[in-house]
Amino acid sequence: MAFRKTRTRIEKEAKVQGWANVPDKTFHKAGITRAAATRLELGTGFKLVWPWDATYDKDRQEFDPAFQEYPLVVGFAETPADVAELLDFSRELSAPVPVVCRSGGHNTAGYSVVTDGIVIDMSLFNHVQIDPARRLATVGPGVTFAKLNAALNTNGLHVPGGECESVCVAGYMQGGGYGFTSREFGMNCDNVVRFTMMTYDSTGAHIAVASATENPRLFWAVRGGTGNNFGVLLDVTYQLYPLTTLWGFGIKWANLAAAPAALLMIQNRFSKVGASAKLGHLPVIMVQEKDTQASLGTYGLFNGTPLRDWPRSRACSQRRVLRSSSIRPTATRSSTRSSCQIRTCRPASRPFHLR
Amino acid sequence: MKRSAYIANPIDLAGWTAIVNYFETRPNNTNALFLEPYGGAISRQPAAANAFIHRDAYVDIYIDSFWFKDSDRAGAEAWLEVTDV
Repeated sequence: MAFRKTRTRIEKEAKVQGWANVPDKTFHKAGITRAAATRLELGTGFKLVWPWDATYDKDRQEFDPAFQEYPLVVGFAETPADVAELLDFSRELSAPVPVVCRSGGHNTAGYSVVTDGIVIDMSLFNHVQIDPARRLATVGPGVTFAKLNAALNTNGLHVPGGECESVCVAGYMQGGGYGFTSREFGMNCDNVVRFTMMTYDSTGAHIAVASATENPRLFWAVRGGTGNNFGVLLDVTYQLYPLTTLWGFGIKWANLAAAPAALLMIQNRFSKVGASAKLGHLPVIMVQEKDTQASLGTYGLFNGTPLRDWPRSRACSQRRVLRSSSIRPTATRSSTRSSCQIRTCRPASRPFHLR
Repeated sequence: MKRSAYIANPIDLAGWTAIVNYFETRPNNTNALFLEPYGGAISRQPAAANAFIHRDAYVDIYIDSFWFKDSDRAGAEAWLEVTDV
């Protein structure tokens, strides 16, 4: 078969030629030799970003700018073989360096970037494959909830997801994964029926399939066991639920003096015990937009028929049909009364997609 | 910066009052305190079913503390570190 260089390979060769202008001390400062960096750059077919590259500051950045870390290299893996290349590389260096995975980069402790180590960016593993008949979805670790929810909405199916649409599946699922529908359908990780993970040991990289019957210990550990602990997630299969019609609501206690009693009530009657599992909500104390004082609000959804599933929701007077998956209620109008003001069934127009 | 905790033992009215009063000492008006209510399907799952063990919680609580100038970072982090509310 004739060998023809891909555009990527041509670009990589040009990039390495450009390194002639990068002084040796720059490589040395980054903790790598010119030869080792050149070997990885030319020996792989995916994008690598080094400290001396123009896009380094953008590509090393976490979602939260509070975290400023300076990795040796960020690799945008496209295939499992690329992940294995990066893992091998971390061991081939004269002193092994730490490796972390990044899906959406939202880790609130900054665990998806590491100074002087290797970041395996999984954002290009973002496939979504839905089997509507069996109500299963197999997705890449780097798929955003924006993309996953859009794909699920087409099929009227749902899996609990996060509030922030740029969060990706891998970090969220391995951290448990709380969502507005978790009280009804469980944590995101509870809905994983199978996953594929690249593990690494003294003999190199291996691909493990895990489910209730295959590698059950790994299956147990990865669901909620936090990312970066057991291997590099390559795909996840979820069980899905039909979900198309929801009620949305917002309640605001504008006077913060009412908040302690309201929080006590939420704790005792609208969390672990009390409210129907079909109710999901997110209480928050903050200064709402256009307000000057902090207030308590809770914003959420109800997936049921009010009079049948939860008589208390009789206040609902108007029915809305919502696309279910991109669930992110926002604040409703403010109230100046110290008692709570209920604004039921008045979903904000943007986060909810009215059919 | 974030700080979070699980509330597995219910907090009484005095406790919630202290939390609200603590929030009122925030150094920044963009800070926020959230609760994620548990129960339902989360609590029905046995604690040993998978590595996510927080099946007994009433709520989890998390606090976001923001700053916009480097000089405000220490104050924003110190507020988050308050343990005695």
